[in-house]
Amino acid sequence: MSASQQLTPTNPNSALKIRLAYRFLLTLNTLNAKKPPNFDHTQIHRRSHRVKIAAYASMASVVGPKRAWSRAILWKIRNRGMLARNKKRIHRISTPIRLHRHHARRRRNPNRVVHVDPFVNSGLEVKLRKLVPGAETIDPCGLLDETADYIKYLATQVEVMRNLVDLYSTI
Amino acid sequence: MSLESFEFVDEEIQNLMSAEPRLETGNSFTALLELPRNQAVKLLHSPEEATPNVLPSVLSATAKGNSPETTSSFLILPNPSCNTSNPVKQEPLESGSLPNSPPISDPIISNSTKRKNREKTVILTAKKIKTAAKEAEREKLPYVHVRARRGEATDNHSLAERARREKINARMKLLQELVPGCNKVSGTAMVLNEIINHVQTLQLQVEFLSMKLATVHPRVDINLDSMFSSESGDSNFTGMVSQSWWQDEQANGNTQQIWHPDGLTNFVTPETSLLSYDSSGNLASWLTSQLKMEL
Repeated sequence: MSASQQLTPTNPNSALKIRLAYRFLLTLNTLNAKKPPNFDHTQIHRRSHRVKIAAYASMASVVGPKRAWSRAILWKIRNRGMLARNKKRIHRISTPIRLHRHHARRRRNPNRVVHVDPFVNSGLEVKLRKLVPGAETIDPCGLLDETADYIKYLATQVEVMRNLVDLYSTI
Repeated sequence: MSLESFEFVDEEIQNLMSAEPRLETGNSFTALLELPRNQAVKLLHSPEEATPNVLPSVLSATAKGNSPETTSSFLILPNPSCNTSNPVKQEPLESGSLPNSPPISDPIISNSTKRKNREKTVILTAKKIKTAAKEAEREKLPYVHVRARRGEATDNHSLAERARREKINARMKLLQELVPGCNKVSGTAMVLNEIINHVQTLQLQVEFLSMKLATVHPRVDINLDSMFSSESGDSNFTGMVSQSWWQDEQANGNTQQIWHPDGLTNFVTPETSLLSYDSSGNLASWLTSQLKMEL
């Protein structure tokens, strides 16, 4: 049968899609192997949350540590237990910014002021910084870079997920 | 070729002007490229990390081809993952306006360069190219080459600021092409709005699709290793479908479907029809072929 052929990517975009799909399916399989799916309300909500985390994690791990947003996502996911605990405790310890060659992933420091060049309207740019993970303390030039990369990977991830949903729903 | 220092290069324009009378034939573009390449290039070292990686490839590219067709490979952006459509777009522009290069007199050069910034960046590709001299200045190297504008402050601060602004504008142009429907909007604020909307839309889509996947997923457990690697025969597929498939069908038949996304209500009927299959390998192999096609 034709399914036994090897997957050969014709262009870099499809190679990326294949890598993303592979990663994502791995995590999905482990997710579903752990618990059998029930169909009541709360379980589905919880599962969808896990699937969402799995999607972001697979997207970030395909990129690796090359990008600030992928590092931030992976750090957030790895430490989400700690973050949840700290949120309950209400008080936030403002950690000093580790001077790092790459930008440090750290919890939000409310005392830090981001000095941006006033060419960009600060309201819009702050919104963008909140949207893109790990982009709070990057200079505006790198911020645009990171958003471009993030948009590209997000779009491919969305496409992979859409294909998966179509696939699963037409069985 | 040393690429470390930078200086103000008004005399480079004089050199180019003296080279202009040579430009008679269609090979003038290569002559133009030869000329700046052989000069000692003074560049502002851009602080990006990607440039050392890009530079060897650029150097090899410049060493390789001399014809105008291969010059399209010269224009390598510091971020190779972003947007290779930019250089391709620029090349026809350049080759198109190049045959109109008469010997350009001094005031024209100064006017054209006064009108636009006299900066050569690889990233700045969307600016309208009016004169051939402007193209000649455009050295295809991933560095920002900043020149002093006439009548402008030439101290280091304003120069560096201008270089940074140009970099940011170039990145905005890249983003504009990445986000669909952003070309018509003009102005930084509107473009940023569009970008923010696009990111929010994509994140919402991920959330919605993850919810859909959570409900529709557990039909068949796919063995990934056999799917994504080359295989010899179909016998591997029979092991792919796990036994939980049968149990899912049982649970499916018993419970009510609370969520009604589009594809959910179809589930029970295809599964009952599939129960009549004697080998589950058919389903799995069909599934993998579908996935490969879509990807």
